[in-house]
Parts: sequence; structure tokens; C-alpha cells
Amino acid sequence: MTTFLIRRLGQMFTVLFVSSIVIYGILLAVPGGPLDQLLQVSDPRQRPSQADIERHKRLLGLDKPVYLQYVTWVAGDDWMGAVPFWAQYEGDRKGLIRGDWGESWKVQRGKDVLAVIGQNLPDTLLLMGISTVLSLAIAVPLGIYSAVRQYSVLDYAVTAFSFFGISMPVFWLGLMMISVSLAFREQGWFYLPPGDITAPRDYKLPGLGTVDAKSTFDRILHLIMPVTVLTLLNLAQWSRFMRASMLEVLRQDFIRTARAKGVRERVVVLKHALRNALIPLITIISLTLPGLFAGAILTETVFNYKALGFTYITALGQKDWPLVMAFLVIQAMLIVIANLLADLLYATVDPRIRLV
Amino acid sequence: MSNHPRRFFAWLLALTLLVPLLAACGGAGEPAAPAATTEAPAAAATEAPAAEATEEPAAEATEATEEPAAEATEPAAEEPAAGDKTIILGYNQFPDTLFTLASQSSMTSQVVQFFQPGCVTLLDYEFQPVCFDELPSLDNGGLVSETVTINPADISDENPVLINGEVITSGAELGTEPLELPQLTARWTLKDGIAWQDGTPMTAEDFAFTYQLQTSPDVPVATTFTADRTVAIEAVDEKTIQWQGIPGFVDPTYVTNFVIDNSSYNVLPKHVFESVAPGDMVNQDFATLPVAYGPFQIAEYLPQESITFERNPEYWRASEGLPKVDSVIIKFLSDEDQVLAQLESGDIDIGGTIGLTLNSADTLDEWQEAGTHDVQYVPATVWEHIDMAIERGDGQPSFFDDVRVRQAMAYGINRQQIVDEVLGGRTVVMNAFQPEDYWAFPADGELNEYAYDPEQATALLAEAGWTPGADGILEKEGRRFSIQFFTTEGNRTREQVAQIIQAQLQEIGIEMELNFVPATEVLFKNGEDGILQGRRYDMAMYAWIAGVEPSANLYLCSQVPTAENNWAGQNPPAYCNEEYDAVTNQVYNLLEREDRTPLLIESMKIFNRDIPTLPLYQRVQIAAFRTGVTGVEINPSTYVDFSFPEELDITLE
Repeated sequence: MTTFLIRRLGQMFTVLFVSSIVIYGILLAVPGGPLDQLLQVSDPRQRPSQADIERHKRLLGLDKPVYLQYVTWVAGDDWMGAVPFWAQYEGDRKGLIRGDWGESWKVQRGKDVLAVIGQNLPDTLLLMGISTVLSLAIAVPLGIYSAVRQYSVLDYAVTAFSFFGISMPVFWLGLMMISVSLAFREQGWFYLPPGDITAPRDYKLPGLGTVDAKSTFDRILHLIMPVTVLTLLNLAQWSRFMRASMLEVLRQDFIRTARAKGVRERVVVLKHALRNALIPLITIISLTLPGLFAGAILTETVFNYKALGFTYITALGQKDWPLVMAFLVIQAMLIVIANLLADLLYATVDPRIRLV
Repeated sequence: MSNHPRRFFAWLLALTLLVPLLAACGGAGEPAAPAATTEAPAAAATEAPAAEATEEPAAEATEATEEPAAEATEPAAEEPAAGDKTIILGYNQFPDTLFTLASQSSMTSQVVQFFQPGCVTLLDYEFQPVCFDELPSLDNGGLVSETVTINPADISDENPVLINGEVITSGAELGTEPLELPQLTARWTLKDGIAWQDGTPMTAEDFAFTYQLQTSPDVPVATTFTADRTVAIEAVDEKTIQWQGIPGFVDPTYVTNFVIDNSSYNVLPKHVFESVAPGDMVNQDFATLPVAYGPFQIAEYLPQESITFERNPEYWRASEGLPKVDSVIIKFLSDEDQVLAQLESGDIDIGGTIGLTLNSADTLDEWQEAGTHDVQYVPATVWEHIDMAIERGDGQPSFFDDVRVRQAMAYGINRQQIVDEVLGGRTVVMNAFQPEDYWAFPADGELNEYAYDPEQATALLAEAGWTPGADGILEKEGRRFSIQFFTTEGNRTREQVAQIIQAQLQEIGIEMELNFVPATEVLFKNGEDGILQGRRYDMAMYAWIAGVEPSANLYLCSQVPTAENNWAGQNPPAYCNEEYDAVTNQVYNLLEREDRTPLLIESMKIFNRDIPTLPLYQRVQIAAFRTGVTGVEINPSTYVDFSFPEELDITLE
């Protein structure tokens, strides 16, 4: 076990190192850069000169050779003064190995990228956490039920619903919910607020009276629609997953043996079958970990729920590379950790799997 | 050991499920981002009456100059009604920072206007004073133009001069004869009673300090154009600000030089910023939560989400009962659909010009008819046009080097039809590089309007030697009239316009291939391989932004992008006409409107005759607001929607 962990940790660092190079390289290959926008100005008074552009590059650290930019990003440049030929590039960056992930270029100019991410993290975890837990809580029993009662009416219903859920584009579903809600409002019926994380001003809802801005209840009202969209999407996929996995286990000999021994059906399903069908579920749960952090780009945009998914897509669009890179590196870390976690869990659930 | 793994498994599973949940719940406790709220720095409410007494004369002067916006609203005499009047605005972008010197987002000016309003407004293509009683001019003595004698040997980095538009820092190539150059000095006198929200009076020192920041190498200002042409901005006394240009810099927009290269025209507080190193400024709390001097101060700022303003008791017009509402919230929404949905649901009261496009016009018109909302469509300063490459940069032969061919394009493209069909008739066709309501514009009938006339187009093309070939496409000396048209991808309006133009040119025998390309990476790319900068196109459609200053300089010979000027320059059609240059250069060397107007009109006429670029239409700015909101008056030439945020008001049923 210990050797396994040590080896895996070593592998993890290698993977992270390689992915940091890949992330850096890919962003480097993107045409254009953070100064593009500055140049789209017709007024000569506001159009940067060549000297202005050089100044901006220096302030962003883009005046260095490419390999040194990578070194600066990872290890900082405050030590470069001591290195021959690099002395001119000395700065005050510490590099991400020492906790300095850089400053945002565009999205929140000058702000530490970890602060930008940290400020959006609670809202992201709330949205993603609730929808994940909800999806699992519904998908697992639903999947088990439709496997045990294969070809029953409910199984057909779940199957049909799953295909609906899987094939539904998120943005379309979201916009439909908003317009249905607004149509309800027009009729004077109860409706849900079309967007935001919380309302900035108290508002009235038919049947509920005045809702206080930024109260917990306000927050819940704003979460209903995005959580529903995300849950429907996950639910459809995960219940299919669970169903397939259960069906496979239920067909196996030891289940027949258990039944033949006279074990109660309930115990057969929940103890003998379920535990063996858990492996795919573990894969799902572990891989939701990076997803919790990533947020949901489309859902967040449709419902103006400004969390990390929205920040990430905005940073990409505005070529705010330090923010994008921090996001991707954290994402890579979480994926590596989630994989390790999954492996550990596999071994505990299934004694046949050995960690060597 | 047999029990151990099970417990371990249960623990891990519980952890995987619980950690995100706990983290999420933790987030629920403290609503939204942990951005700190402003502590109104010891707002001394007791000082307000004292300020009122001295404010009277200043206030009168302001009213006289602020007429355009005041029209829409009632006179602000009575105290605002008790209670909590909140107005909510929605935009679909957010500011990158509130530290205006470093900002590159047009949302920053929109937001900053509420707490640090620009010290001038730009209504109707003119400048109006806000922080001053009047703007300097030669007439009132605020502007002085002297002729100074410069010995070329004295020219240095510290003592530069401007000759033919170039900043010269060395006299080595200027010979030994002394140079006679004009030098401008302008003075502004600060209005009485303007104070920062902490009660500190605003002084000329704040302006001088803003200039020092502006010129610090560590502050990421977008450009240093005016800074390079400025000797200094100084405080002459407590209330008087003085700007001096370098010899040779005749700046027609000198009236805005109390701050330079700052498109928000706001001032920063010396007493708050002076102890901080300029390089550290952008990410400091007081840069993200700045100190106000305008009608509102910041109560809460949630970056990317919203900003909440409350009444600033130190505002110099507070005694007049301004601002009219107690608080304003600006919400930064994710997209136009959200702006519409929230307007409909009443979550926002006003949808601003950054957020609403003509795609929403039908919905907005329905609401206007139903009486729930008001909508303003204003043809504004962004104008679409088609550049025609008179001389290509890649050595390919040009189709448009003959002026008759360019005129034929103007006759052969039905611009009115484009405005009617694509833009719902909500804007106007342009025939020069400035809109018709500009301060200088030729009289009716002086410009050729190029009304749609395909026969005239065919006749002009025939005159230029283009005759129909076997398949109906024009030919000249064996060359087919088959051109490459470029515009930006993903812009629905432009794509529709391009298709209409393609069909119309087909009718007069011109084959056109449409290319929709990425904006910054291809069309506007800098250098020789950029479509526009490298002049590798036949026709290209894009937009320029006009301002208070005319865009005539775009078509000067010196602006043609070439290898010599490193493919910089803003004249991709490569139009070069000595007559035009002679007239236009004078426009930029004169200070007073009355001297500049006839020359500018002359240059518009030459432009209109030569058609180096075919102007299409002014883009429309749209604002929509719920019935009951007053004080919204979108002006074509301003850089903000609300030049007078203090006038915003709302009456709900």
C-alpha cells in the first residue's frame, strides 16, 4: 500500500509537470494575445504606439524569451538576478510552486488569480454540490429499481426520460424554463427569478409575498432552476449507468446462489448485487470532484449564475492566460487526485483489486 | 484486518460525498463573494450644511450648461421622498477594474461615472464642463498660445518638441537655426464645494497627482499619446489646474487635458493614493473600492456580478436634493437573453446600451406598445463602412484604383435597403466619415447621396472599361471582376449585410466571394499578413468609432500601412490625395471650431467625391427601461449612458 502510494504520488507529479507544459504550450500557440483589444482603436490619441506595446509587454512579463516565461510562471523570477544572462529579467514573481499564481490580465485586472477563483468558489461548489448530491440520490435508486424491475412500466419511463435528458441541450432547456417561468409571471402565477445568484433588491412573488434580497430563501429560489437543469442532465446519464451495471451483476451466478439459499430479495439486491455494482458508481463520484470545481459553463451563462464556469469561459474569451492557466492546473490536480481516490476506493470495495 | 478496509471505505465514501456538500453549505452562509464592503470613510454628515452655503453660485452655473440632460427630467428642487428608492441597471459586460488608468473595458467608464463622474461631458459632439465653471478657450483667456523659440541643441528627452506630428527628442537633424513653434497653456478653475466622500476637499493637487500616476512607468495606462506631448499638469493654486503642451503640439482637444489619456475623464484622490507605490495600485482595495466625489458612493462591489451605490452625502449638489434615488445597483449580466428576461421580470429597471442589440428590437417594441417599457434607439458614433483597396499591399492588381469604379459601388449598393431590411429602419445611411448631427457637416445637397442607381453604376463601370463577359460578369482586358470581401465572423448583422451586398453587386455583373474571418487574429491582425494592415483584400467591412474629434485623419497619405511604417496606420484603402491631405492637415493644426469647420466640410466633400471607403450606416445604441423611470437620455456622442446619473429617478405604481 505504501509503495503504491509513493509510486502514485511520483506519477502524479510527473503528470502535473507534463500537463503544465502542455497547458502553457497550447495557450502560447493561440493566435493573438492580451493586447489585441488595445489596438482596435481609431482615435490616434488612444491607440498605443510601438513603445506603449513594449511597455505593456514588459508589465505583463511578455518581454522574456518563451522558455523563461514558463520558468517564471512555475518558479518565479525573483532569483533571476543571480543567474548570468538572465539578470535583466529579474522581477518580483515567486512562481506557482511558491504559491504565486500570477495576476489576472483582463477579467479582474491586477488581482491575484487565486483570489479571483476563491471569490467564485463558494457559489460554484454550492450549485455543483447540490446538483451532484441530488442527482446521485435520485439516480442510484432509480437505476437499481429499473434494473431489478427490468421491462416494467417504470423502467420504460426511466429509459425514455433518460434519452430525453441526455439529448436535451442545456442552454435550450434553461431558456425554456426561463420563458415558461416568465409566462407564469404574466398570468400572475408563482414564478421563479430568471437569473442571478441572489437578488440585490427585495421582490414580491405571488403566493409568497415579499422575498428579502440575499436571504437564504432568496438564494434557494435562485438555485431551483439551474439545479434542476444540471440534475436532469446528470440524472439521465447516471441512472443509465447504474441500471446497466446492476443488470450485469444480477445475471451472475452468485446472485442466483444467494436467491437459491433463500436470502431475502432485499438483501440480495442491496447487499450482494449493489456492492458489486458500485465500481462504476465510484468512477462517477470520483470524477465529479474536478467537475465540482469546474462549474457548468452553459448553465451558469443561461441563468446568469456567475460562478467559476462563467469566469473560466470569460477568461478564455478575453485571453486572460494567467487565470486560464491557474484554472487548468487546479483542474489537472483535481483529476489526478480524483483518480487516486477512485483507485483506493476500488480496492476497498472489491477485495479482488490489489494496490501494488 | 478484515474490518478495517470496510470502515476505511465507508469513511472515504462519506468524505467524497460530504466534503463538497459542506464546502457548499459553507458558501451559503456568507452570501456570494467575499469582496469587502466599503466603509464609508468617516463620512462627516455634519459638514454638509457648511458646504451648502458656498455652493449656491456654482450650482447655478452647472444648470446652465447641463441643459441637454435636464430636459427629460423635472427640476430637482424638492427633497427626495422618504423611503428607499432603488434603481437597477443591467449590462452584459463587467468592468475589469475600477482603477480607471489601468482599465481596458468600456464598462469601467459606465460604472465610474456614478461615483467619479467625468469632469467634462461629451454631449452632442461638444464638451461641457462638470467640475469647472467654464472650459478654457482663447476668448476667455483660459487658453494661451505663445510662439516659443527653440534652439535645436536644447531638444532632448526632457525637452521634446512636436514637428509634423512626430515627437522629436533630439535636435541633431534639425540644423542650427532656432525653431519658432507654438506652445499651448490651458487653465481650469475647479468649482467650489467639490469634495471627496471622506470630506476632504478636491483640489488642483489631485489633478497634478493623477498626472504623476498617469506618467508613472509602472501604471499600465493604455497609451501615453498625450503624456508624450505634455510638459506637465500642475496645481497653480488650490483651485487652478494648468496643463502645458510641448512646443509644436497644437491640440484641438486641449479642453480635456486636465487629465490625459484617461477616457473616463475622472480624477483620483491624492490623499488616499499618495503613500502607495504606483506599481501596486491596481490590485489595492482603494483601487477596487475607490473614493467618490460624484452623486453616489460605493456600498458594495461584487466583481463580475454587481455594484451597489448609495447616496454620497458629500456630493456638491446634495443640497439640491440630488441624486434623486437613494441607491443604484448595476448588475453585470451574462448575455443579452438575461438582460431581456430580467427587464421582463422586473429584476432590472434599465437595460443599458452595452447589452441590448437590434436582435431584441421586436421584443422591445412589443413592450413599448404594451406600455410596460420605453425604448430609445439612437444612431451613435460607431459607423460601419466598406473599405475598397485602392492599392493592395501584396502586389495584386487593384479593382478600385479608378475613382469611377468606387463611385459605381456606391451607386450599385442599395444602402437604404440594408438599413430598412437588416436594421429595421432604425438608423440612417451615411455619406461622409462623420454623422449628420456632427458640429461640422456640409449643407443639404452639397454631398452626393449616391442614391441606389444600378444603371448609373453600370455606366460608370463601362466608362472605366469594364464590360460584361460571356457569363454576365464584367471583364476588362481579360480580367474578371471577381472580388474578395472580408468581414468579421459571428456577427449576424454584418453577415446579413454582406449577403445583400453580394446579391446587389451580382446584378451589376460583379462576382463577390464572402469571407467571414476571426476579428483580431485575421482581419485586424497587425503586420504585413493582416488582412487590413497588409492590404490583402478587395473589399472589407468593419466599423470605426467617431468622437468629438473628426475622423478625417484616417484617410491621410501618412496613415497608409506600408513596410516603412511597419504596417501600422489606419488607412487600409491606401487612399492618398494631396488635395485632401492639404485641407485635412490644417484641420488638426487649428484650435477653434469656427476656423476648423469650413476646412473639415471641405475634406468631407473630397471624401464624398473620391469614396476611398463607402460609409454604410451609424450603428444604433439601444436603451430600454421600465415605465416610470426618468432621466434616461442616450446621447450619440457620449462614452457613458448616464452623463448625469444624479438625474435618474423611478416612480413605481
